[in-house]
Amino acid sequence: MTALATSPSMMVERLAHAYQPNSSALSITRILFAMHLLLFPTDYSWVAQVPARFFNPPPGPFALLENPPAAGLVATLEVVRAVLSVALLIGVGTLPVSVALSAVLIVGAGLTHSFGKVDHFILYELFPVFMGFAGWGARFSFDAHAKSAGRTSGYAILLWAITVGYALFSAAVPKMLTGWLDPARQATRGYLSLDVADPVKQGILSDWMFSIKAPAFWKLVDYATVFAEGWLLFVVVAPLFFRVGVLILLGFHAGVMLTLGIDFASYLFVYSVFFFAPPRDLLRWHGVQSSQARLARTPSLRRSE
Amino acid sequence: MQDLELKPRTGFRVWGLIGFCGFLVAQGLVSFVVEPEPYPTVRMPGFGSAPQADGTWAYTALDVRIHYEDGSSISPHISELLSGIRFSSAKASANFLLGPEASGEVDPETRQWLHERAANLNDGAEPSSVQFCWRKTTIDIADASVDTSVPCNTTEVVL
Repeated sequence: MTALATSPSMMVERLAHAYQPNSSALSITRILFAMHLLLFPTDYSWVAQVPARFFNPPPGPFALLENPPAAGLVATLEVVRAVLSVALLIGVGTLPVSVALSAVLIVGAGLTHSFGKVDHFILYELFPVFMGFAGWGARFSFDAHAKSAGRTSGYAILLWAITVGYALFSAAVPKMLTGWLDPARQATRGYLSLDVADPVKQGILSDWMFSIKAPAFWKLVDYATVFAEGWLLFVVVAPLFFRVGVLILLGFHAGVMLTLGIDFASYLFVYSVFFFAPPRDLLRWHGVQSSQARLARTPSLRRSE
Repeated sequence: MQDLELKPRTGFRVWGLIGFCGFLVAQGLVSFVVEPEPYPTVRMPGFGSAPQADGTWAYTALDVRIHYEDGSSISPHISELLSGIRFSSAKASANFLLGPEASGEVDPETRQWLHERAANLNDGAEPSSVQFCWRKTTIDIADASVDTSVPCNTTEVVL
């Protein structure tokens, strides 16, 4: 029992179990995500309408393009995205559709990022492929009706948790290396001052926040930002803490939107799937411990030991 | 409904997880080593360096001034002049094509595009030129005041 309980394989299984999503909630997320894509699609068309001289793709596969794509090609990409979104909405071929949809979102984003600036919505773009493997077609879908939908997978959600934690960690590390933790330097206040000086795009609380003069407050915001982004990766193994961290992040994103006007509302999808476990599992602090009892109660597991 | 039956499995999922983590780290290293930032990579914005301890912060400001044939001029935000480009990319695009380090050469297509936008920003008035003033300056983070005494590095496009 002890060797089995502590083996890497069982630890992974128990963590996967701790992140196991409720199939109905995950499937509703699929429907809402598809509706979001259909109702609020990112505009790709401008890519083909601005002068080609501005085209400056980032390193990577898009650097192979010498010119922006033709308008017809961009329009086709948008049509394909819409068709895939409808297929996702009704749950037809959900897994391949999800994979294809992520590919289309990445291609579309890559084109819009080819004008000198990479925006950071990669988690939104990767969301369909991970959720496809997590089984978001399990309910309320043609696949489910045809009995071709698989079960939901906590393992896929575990990998998604690692991905999200890693992505946030990648935002914290540069901050730690460039003075955000220096008690004498106020980074958040600095970025807010830029928005106040150039007020073309502000959050609704920008001016009010900027009126706060206490250095201790601003330093606390810097520390909180680095902590909120940096610790998540390390608590993937403790699902309760991970979920608390995600809730903190939601507050962080809301604060960023209200003060800096940067909208990460679409990331609600990204984070929501961590809260689809049964309520009793949501509040258990440790995936391994939480599943010990279940392990003991499961005859098939006892036999396998 | 019980979606999952917990049972011990082979090490495949462990190795899959280890491989996945290795991939994340590897692509992350590439992402931070390669300049400018590549895409696609799993990464969130690190923003950048914190201001100095004395409360000032060096940055490059961009002011745009459009002159018209009737002698008038306006100073729109760069995102207004380059409104066809996504807001977050407008300044970067201007820097790429018209910044201090760029050649500043503007082809007829771009000139015509800028001409149309400049006219639209001033009720159809005929634009004559647009100046892009790049100023390496400092901002005081306590009151958001910008030092405008620093001379501009100006790129002018005749429209």
